[in-house]
Formats: sequence, structure tokens, C-alpha cells
Amino acid sequence: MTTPSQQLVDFDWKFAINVANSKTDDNNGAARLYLKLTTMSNNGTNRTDIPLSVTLEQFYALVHQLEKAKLEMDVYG
Amino acid sequence: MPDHHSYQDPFYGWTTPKTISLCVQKLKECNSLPFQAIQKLISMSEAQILNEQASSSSSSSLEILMKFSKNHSISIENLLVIFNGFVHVLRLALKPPAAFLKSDIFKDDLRDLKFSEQIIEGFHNILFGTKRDQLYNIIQERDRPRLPFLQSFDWNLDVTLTTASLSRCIEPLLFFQFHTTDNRCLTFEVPIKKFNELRYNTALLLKEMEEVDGKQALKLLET
Repeated sequence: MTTPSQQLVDFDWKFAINVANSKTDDNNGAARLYLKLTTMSNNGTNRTDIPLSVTLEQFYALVHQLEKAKLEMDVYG
Repeated sequence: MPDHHSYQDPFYGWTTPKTISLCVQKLKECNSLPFQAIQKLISMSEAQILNEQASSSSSSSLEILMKFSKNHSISIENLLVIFNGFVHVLRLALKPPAAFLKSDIFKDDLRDLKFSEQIIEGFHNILFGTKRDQLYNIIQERDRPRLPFLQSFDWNLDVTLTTASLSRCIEPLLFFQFHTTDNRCLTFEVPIKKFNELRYNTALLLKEMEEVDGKQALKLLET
């Protein structure tokens, strides 16, 4: 699953609470994280921004996967 | 009673369009075509403008024309010319604004084009019949070049609490999401200053629309 063409260069985040919505009101108070991953190709030419918006559960799942990866790296590191 | 030819041009323009003169000529040549078939052709030409799929018979208009050509032993080219002429007559009649087309003047013009009385009745029933509003609506809304429409517009107002660089910044955050009819989904963030400009421009636009409505020059002259 390696992608040799693009490398993660920056990981910017923003944490926000939903106050009002044009759809139904049951989403009030839901917390959301806005991530912006910046990747750059190997020879340093193309910078691409990947904006994402994740809910809290999705973010915890992401953190869980990252911590698992970190544990594996520490075993071999 | 002055002849309407002195003050109003016929609905098809200054000269007879070639499509219509060919259609009349072919109708005279194929006088073996029974009137029922002609009636069916007229209603098919109406359906062509309305762009309905013939749901009752599950055959397209081209198949119906092939069936006619076999049943009455008339070549398919002649039938196509006749069908084309009918659709053309309907389109030309729908071109001037609805109030300009008076039914007796319309029938007179059709007589000048040398259509038979039954056909004139058929056209008259279509243009002044039940589907009249629908036909005019279609011509207005559909048959001109248009950009994609805005289908739905959603917004989302959040309050940013922390970011990667600031630990306590209470700031409002506004997102818009536009869905257009060509299946594009455009999502973007709106700074509050731009949002206030948007509100100002919307109010200005509404006021200008009201002013345009009142201008005398844009009112339709009803004869």
C-alpha cells in the first residue's frame, strides 16, 4: 500500500462545534474536525491539498489506526 | 371589416417556409393517406414538441412512421417531409407571444398555405386545446440554451474552538454546498465579511427586480 509518488508534508486541523444547519436541527452541538492534509510529490513539484471533514467517531477511528501503526513501528524501531 | 393581411403578418413569416411548402406538396401527391393517419401524424408532432415518450404505444415516432409507410405504401421520405412540415407549423405558431395568435387569423393563414380544412381543425385544436399552456411553457423553459441550474443549497454554521496553531480562537465558520443540475457538488467556505456582502447584494438584486417590473418599456403590448 505504498504510494511512492506522494508524501505527506503537512497535517493541519481545526476543531469546531456545529451551531446551525440548513437541514434538520438534530445535528446541533455535533462536534466536527476539519483536516487538511498537504501532500507533495517526490521531486518536490506538485503540492496537493486534501481537505476533509470528519465527525468525532470517524476521527477516533482514525486516531486508533494511527496509534496501532505507531505501536508496530515502535516494535521494529 | 378590413382584411387581417393589411395589419398583421402571417404567423409563418413573410414568405412560406420551404419545409411547409414541401409538406403541402407531398400531401397532395400522397392522397392515398387516410385522414386518420394524418391525425396521428399531427398528434405525434405535438408529442415531439412536448418531448413525451409515447407511453401508450411503446414505439418511437420513427417506428410509427415506418409502420405507416408500409401500411399505405408511401415512401418513408415523403412521410418524413410531411411530419417535419407539421412540426414546423406548430413551432412557428408557438413563436409569437400567446396573446398575439388569434384563432381565426391562424386558421386563415393556414388556409393561405393550402392545408385542408380537417388538418386546419387538427392544428387549431392542438394550439388552443388543453395542452396549450404546457406547450408554451416548454418552449419558454426548455428550448433555449441554458446553463445548469442550482438544484439545492445547504449551509452549515460551525464555531471553531481550536486549531493546530491557535489554542483558543472562538470564530464562526460558514460552509455553503451547492448542488447543480449537472451533478456537480460545489462546497466552499464563506468568510463572514463576504457573507454580509452576499446579503447586501441579494437585497439590492431584489430591489432591482422590482424596479424592472415597473418599467413601461418591458411591458407586453396586447393587441
